[in-house]
Amino acid sequence: MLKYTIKRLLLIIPTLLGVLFIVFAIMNFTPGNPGRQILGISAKQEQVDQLNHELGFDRPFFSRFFSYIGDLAQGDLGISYRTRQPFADEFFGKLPITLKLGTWGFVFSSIIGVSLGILSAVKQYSWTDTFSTLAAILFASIPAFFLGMVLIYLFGLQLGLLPTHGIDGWKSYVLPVATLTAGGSAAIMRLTRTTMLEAIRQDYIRTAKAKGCSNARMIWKHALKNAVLPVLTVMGTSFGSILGGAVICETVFSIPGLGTYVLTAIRSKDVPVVMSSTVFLAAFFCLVMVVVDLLYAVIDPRIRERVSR
Amino acid sequence: MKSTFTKKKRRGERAGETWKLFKKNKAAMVGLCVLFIFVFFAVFADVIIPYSKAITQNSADRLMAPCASHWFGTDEFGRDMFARVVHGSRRSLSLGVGTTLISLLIGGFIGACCGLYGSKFDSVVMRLCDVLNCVPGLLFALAVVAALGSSMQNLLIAVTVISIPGFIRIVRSVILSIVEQEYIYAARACDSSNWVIITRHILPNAMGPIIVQASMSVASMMLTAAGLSFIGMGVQPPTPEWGVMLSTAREYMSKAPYLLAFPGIAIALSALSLNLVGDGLRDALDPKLKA
Repeated sequence: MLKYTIKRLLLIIPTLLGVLFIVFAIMNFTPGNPGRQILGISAKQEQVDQLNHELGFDRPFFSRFFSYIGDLAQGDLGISYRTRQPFADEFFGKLPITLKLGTWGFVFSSIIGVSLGILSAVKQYSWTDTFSTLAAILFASIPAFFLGMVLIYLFGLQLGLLPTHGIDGWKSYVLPVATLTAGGSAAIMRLTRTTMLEAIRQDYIRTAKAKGCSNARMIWKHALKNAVLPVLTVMGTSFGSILGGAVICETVFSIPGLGTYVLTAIRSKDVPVVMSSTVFLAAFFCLVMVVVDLLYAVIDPRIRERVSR
Repeated sequence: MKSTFTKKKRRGERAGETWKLFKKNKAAMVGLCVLFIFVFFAVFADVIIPYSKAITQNSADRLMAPCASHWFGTDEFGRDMFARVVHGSRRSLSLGVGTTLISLLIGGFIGACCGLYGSKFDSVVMRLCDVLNCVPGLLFALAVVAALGSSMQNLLIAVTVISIPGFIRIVRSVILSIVEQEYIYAARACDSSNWVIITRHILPNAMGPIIVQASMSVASMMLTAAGLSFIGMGVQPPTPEWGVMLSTAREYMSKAPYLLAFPGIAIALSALSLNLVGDGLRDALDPKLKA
């Protein structure tokens, strides 16, 4: 088990290098240069060239890439082209907001999605099932930016109950978290229902019933343990790509989090910020997926057996 | 000649059976009808209302609430919202369908090569997919649009790029599961050529899950494309596109909530109809999963 964990953790490194290379290449296809970006259109060409030289932008592609990797390995995350502030200060200043948003969204969508999924699979064709299945497909179809704005209009502008933008106390988190939860729980609920329905029809469930196993024990011990694995993967992917949802959600609610930070950086071609953010987000994603794989082994003894060999 | 005849008949029967199962599913049929309405609007947009109405600015009529002459009201430049929503359906639907088709073709081809020929090519492609998988899709698409510049065409490229790995995976796993089936061994034993095995045995059996995946992805790609346009990294104003329209609606929310309502409902309704059709197809093509 330990050996497997270490192996999985070490495998993250080449993956991250690959991610870095792809993003670095994409950012370098971009027309324009950081000198012009920083100094503005009115600056003289010599000044722009001078600054580009200072930033090392006039060196060849691979030389820049490897010196970036070298700096990164030494813990130097670079300085933003746009604000001239060290990346780490800005990034870690904004991280808590996005992490809070994402974690609460993840927690609520997991609880609601999994429990509704189990409920509607166990009580298939009941009113609860029909209602929650329809609600799930509806919320899976409404884009987050539309739902967010509808919530702002209803609860912020019409009822005046909740703040509509920015971050100021726990109340500001309610609407964004609700927006993230609606889409997330819909996806989790649909998958849980499908896998649970499949599990319930297996022979071992019939055997458990024949042995006189109680309903609750049959669902929790026999069906859910087999049904939950694919759901875990989806939960991991959705938590790992917090930023995917955050970019749009934070734009709708004007929240100064990582999503808006990275969006501005991409727009203004702030290469160091985009690169370093990508490293952190990709590393976070990889770590979450390692945890998911370890949970697989914890839940399923067959996988545990295969892994520890 | 005879053998091709029976083959065609069998294939027709299969489609007929799927349709029969699909028809029984009420929700899927409602979805199909709504989808037809949207496709109708997209195809005959110019007949329904001229494009000029969607882009001509008229400052006298700005921010008018819905009325008889402007069914959905007018926006901040006095453009008719009904015309903009109708013409917007063209962009959104074609983005969803276009990206799905292109990524299905490219991803399907690569995935099929991985599944059929395996070995080194397979492991290289799979590692590459792992790498792409680690970057949040939306972030990756943003970077691509930023590199290429914001336009409808580049938006299409970006959304296609982020969805190719998914198609590679699904096609590869479907093909891998089929290659191990006994009828493939039987075909090999009968000395069928690779070409015959691929076109006659593997492809027809692989179509079901791939069609389901493709139909589901149209909705999600349409929403992704609209989301990118919404944050200003896709289709640019004044082009009528639902995401762009919602982005301007945000600024006028308190004064003109109908600017928000109509494009929003259009996008949610079209995604809903696509998802309902996708669910119906999944249940009809794969009765094992039938919910």
